[in-house]
Amino acid sequence: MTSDYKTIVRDGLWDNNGVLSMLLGMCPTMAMTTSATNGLGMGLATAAVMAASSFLVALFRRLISQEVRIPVFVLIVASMVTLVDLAMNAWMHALYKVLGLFIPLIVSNCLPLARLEAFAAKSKALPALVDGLFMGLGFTLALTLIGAVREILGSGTLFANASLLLGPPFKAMELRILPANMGVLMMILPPGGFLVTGLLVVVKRLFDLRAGKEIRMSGAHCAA
Amino acid sequence: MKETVMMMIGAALVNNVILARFLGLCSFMGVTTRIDTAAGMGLATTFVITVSSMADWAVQRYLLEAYGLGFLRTVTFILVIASAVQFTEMVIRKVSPSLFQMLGIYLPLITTNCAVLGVALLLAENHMSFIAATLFAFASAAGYSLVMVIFAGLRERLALASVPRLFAGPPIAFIVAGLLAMAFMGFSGISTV
Amino acid sequence: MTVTADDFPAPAHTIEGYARVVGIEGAVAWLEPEQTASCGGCAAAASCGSPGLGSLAGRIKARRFPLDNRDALIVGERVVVGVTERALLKAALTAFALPMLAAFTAGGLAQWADGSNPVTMGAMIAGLFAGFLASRRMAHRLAARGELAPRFLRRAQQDETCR
Repeated sequence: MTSDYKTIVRDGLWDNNGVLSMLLGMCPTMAMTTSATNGLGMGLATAAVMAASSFLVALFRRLISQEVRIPVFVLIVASMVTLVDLAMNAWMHALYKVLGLFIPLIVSNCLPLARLEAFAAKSKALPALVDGLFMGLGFTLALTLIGAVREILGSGTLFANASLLLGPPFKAMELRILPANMGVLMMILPPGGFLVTGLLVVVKRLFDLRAGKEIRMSGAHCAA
Repeated sequence: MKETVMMMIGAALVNNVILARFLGLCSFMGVTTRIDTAAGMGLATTFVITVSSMADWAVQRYLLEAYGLGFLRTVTFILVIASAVQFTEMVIRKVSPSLFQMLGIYLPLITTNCAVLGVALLLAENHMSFIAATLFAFASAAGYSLVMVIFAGLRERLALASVPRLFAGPPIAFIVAGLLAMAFMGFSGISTV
Repeated sequence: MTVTADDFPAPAHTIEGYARVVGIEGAVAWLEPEQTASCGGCAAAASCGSPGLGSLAGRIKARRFPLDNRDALIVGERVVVGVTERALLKAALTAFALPMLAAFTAGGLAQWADGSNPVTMGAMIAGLFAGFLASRRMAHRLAARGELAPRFLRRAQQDETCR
C-alpha cells in the first residue's frame, strides 16, 4: 500500500473515482442529484462519513479479527452515519429534509465499505483518513457534476437554494442559466438521473482513452 | 381492502423501489445479466425484505419508540437486517441443503442492498399497522423483483446488439434503465396513496 | 488443434457455474463452487463477504456438493457445472415463495379474525414456520427427482472465467 499522498488524492478525486470509474454508490447518485446543491450536500455528508470511518478502521485495524471484520466495519459506518445524521438535523435542517432517507442509506452505500475493505484495513491512520476524505470528495465531485447537468437542463438554474441549504454566505452561488420555461422536466425526474449518469461515465471513458488508460468494463466489487 | 390494494400498487409500480426511489441499484446493475439469476435474486430479496420489515416494525414500535431511542434507528435496523439474512441462510440450510447450495450465493449480497434498508426506513416513517406495513414491504419488494426481471430481459437482448465500445457495459445499461424509468412513469397517478 | 469452450456448447437454458474439486471418495467427487460477486466480479472477488458471522470460506464449504466421478477428475481441477433455469426458479420459489405465502395467509386470517397487531404478528411467524416445513417437503420431492443437483458439463479451460 503506497503512502504516496499525491497518488491517493488523484486516485480518489478522478482516476479511480467512486462513481464514474468504480460505479459504486449508485443509489444516492441517481436520487440526490436533482440539483447541484443536493449533490454537493449529499457528497459532503458521505465524505464526512468516509473520512471518519476510514480513520477509525485504520486506527483499530490490528484489533479487528478477520472473521468479524465486515460486521465491525458496518457498525463503524453506521455509527458515523448516525452522528452525521444528527448533526445535519441540528445544523443544516433544510438540507437534512431534502436528503431525507439517503443519509441513513449511506450505510448501505457500497463506496465506504469498499474503501474500508480495500484500503483502510491495510494502512496507517493518516493515509486512510486522506483516502477516505478524497474518495468522498471525488464522490462529491461526481454528484455535483451530475446534479449541475441535470439542474441546468431541467430547471435552468445552477446551485438554486444554495443559501438555504448551506448557509447565507453561499447566496452568491445561485445562478440562472436558462430561462425558466426552457427546461426539460425529465432531467430532474428519475429517467434523467439514469441517462445523465450513463453519459457521464462515457465522458469519463473518453478522458481515460485520451490518457491512454484501459476502459473498465464493469464496476468494482462490493465488499459485501 | 381497496385502500390496501391501492397502497400495494403504489408501492410496487407508482413509487417503484428501483425506478422511482433509486434503491437497490447495485444489484440492479450487477445481477441482471440473465433472467433466471435476476428472478432468483428478486425472490430472495423479497423474502429478506418481508421478514426484516416484520422485525424492523417490531423493533421500531416496541423498542425505539417506547424508549425514545429513535436516533439508534440506523444502527439497529442494519443489525436486524444482517440478522434476518443470517436467519434466512440458516433456515434454508436446515430446510434443504440442495436448495441452499443453489440459492446460497444470493443471500450475502442482500445485506448491503439499499432496497432492504430503504424499505425498512420508509416503513418506520409511516405509522401503519403490522399487516399493512408487511404488505407494503412485500409490494415494494415485488415491484423490485418485477423490474429486475424486465431489465434482465432487456439486457439479454442488449448483449446481442452491437453497442459502440465506449458505451458498452454500464453506460448503455444506464441509458436503457432510463428508458425503462420513463415507461414506468406512465403509472403515476394510478394510486395516490 | 486447440480445443476451446465453443466446442462444448451447453444445452439451452442452462446456467453455468465454476467449481473446484476438493476431494475424491471412491466414485464420488466433492466440489466447491467459486464465489461470485454482486457487482459483476468473479473468482477474484476474495473480498466478498457479508455482515455476518463466519467467514467466506465457511460459507463456501457449506455449499459443497457431490458429483459422480465418471470423468476421472483429480483434486484441484476446475470444472464447469450447470443447472437448468427451471431448476433455479423452482428452487427459489420453494425456498422463498412458499413460506411467504403461508405467512401472509395466516396473517390475513388473523387480521380478519382479530385485528390486533401482536396477534397478527404471532400468526405470521407461525405461518412462516409452517411454510418452511412445507418447503422442506417440496425440496425433498424435487431433490428425489434429481432436479436440484448440478450436472457436470465440462472441464474448465485454462483461463476461462465468467463474464
